[in-house]
Amino acid sequence: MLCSIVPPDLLLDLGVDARQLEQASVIRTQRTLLAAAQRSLNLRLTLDEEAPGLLRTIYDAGHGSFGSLPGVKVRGEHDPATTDEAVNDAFDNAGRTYAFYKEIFDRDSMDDRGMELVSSVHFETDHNNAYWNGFQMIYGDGDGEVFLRGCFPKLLDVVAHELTHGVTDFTAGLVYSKQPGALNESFSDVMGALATQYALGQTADQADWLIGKGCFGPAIAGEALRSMKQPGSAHPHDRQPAHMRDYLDLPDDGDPRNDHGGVHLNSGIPNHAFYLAATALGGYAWERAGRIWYVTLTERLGPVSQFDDVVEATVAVAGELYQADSDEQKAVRSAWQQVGLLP
Amino acid sequence: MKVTVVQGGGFGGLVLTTTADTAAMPLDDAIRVREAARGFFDLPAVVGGPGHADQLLTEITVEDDEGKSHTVRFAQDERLGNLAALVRAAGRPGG
Repeated sequence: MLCSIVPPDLLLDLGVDARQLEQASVIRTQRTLLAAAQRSLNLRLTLDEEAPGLLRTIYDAGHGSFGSLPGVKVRGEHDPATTDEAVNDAFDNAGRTYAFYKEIFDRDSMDDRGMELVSSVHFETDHNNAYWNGFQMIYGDGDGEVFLRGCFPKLLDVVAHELTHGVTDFTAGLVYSKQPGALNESFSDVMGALATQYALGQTADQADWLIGKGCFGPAIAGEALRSMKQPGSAHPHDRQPAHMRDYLDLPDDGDPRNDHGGVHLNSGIPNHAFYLAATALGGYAWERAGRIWYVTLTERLGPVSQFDDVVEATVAVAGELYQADSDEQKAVRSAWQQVGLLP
Repeated sequence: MKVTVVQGGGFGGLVLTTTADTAAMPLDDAIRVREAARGFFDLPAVVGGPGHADQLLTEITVEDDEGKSHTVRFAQDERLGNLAALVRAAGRPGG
């Protein structure tokens, strides 16, 4: 699985840092390491220690690169807010993401076993990205041109999107390539949107269904990175399709223009299907549509699942949770029909 | 010497490009680019592993003064310090 392989030297580095943490943190970090090793080696290893609950640790990478990760610890779970906005934003939004998963799906962190949420802020200088590297969050500051400074940890949908890559790593394990990769991206967008709607108390009709709203700087001048309501409309360079007739069949050849076979492009299709199902059902999207998608991600998919597999699984899960031919199952089936994945 | 950097992927899924020409930059910057490009033509076309979800993908193309060019692709990685230095020397890709 592409996303889960952690290099051995990285594991060793983390082991050294773990010795500096408090005991509970050490246990959770060890579990994280074992989980990463388990996934990379395809083994079944467990630690019996129970450590449920929220544990966040924020590090300052000091504008260093990979060699400086995770950096200097600047805020732990029981520490007060700091004067660094990026630190506090990363801390708060990791907590909101944890609360969303715990309160809605009874999921205890990314691994459902109380995994410590480790974040490093101020990665490199003017770095235009945020990502989950298999065991921690990494936030650049943005360069102020393409991305506004500090926007990555500030936006809950960005943070929840990235942490959902961790949930996917621990469950379906969707490989980051072509259709499984587009599904990996779509589940992250769906859960990022739902975590935001949950925090704001928004119904499906009240939500804007935008991902990364207000994050672009003057060089892009777009409203958001992606729109689940109208894929392809979020910014001037947005090429996301909303229907299978516009699917972009790109190679996964390492060319940055091809985006691992269009993972951030074709994700527009399942993104739009979720929007259609959620708005057809109305109310809070996390309650019914969100539950169907969550059960599908965590219980029904595998590393190479395709769009058709998700269609079949979501329709089946909707029937199991809410009965056959229920409003929920009809809404899910109709959504896939509207994006061209069901006749 | 011309250096073209294309970055894609990342959380935003954007494709950003920049081109640096040592003939059109201050002497110090030109020296920095030439130093960072040392050994570039000996690298394979793909360096390192596939990377993680939302990690940046980068393609660097260097054209030397005789018109000979070479392209290298990689996912951002801690082992690729020289390539990262070349990206910095060439200038950050913009929109």
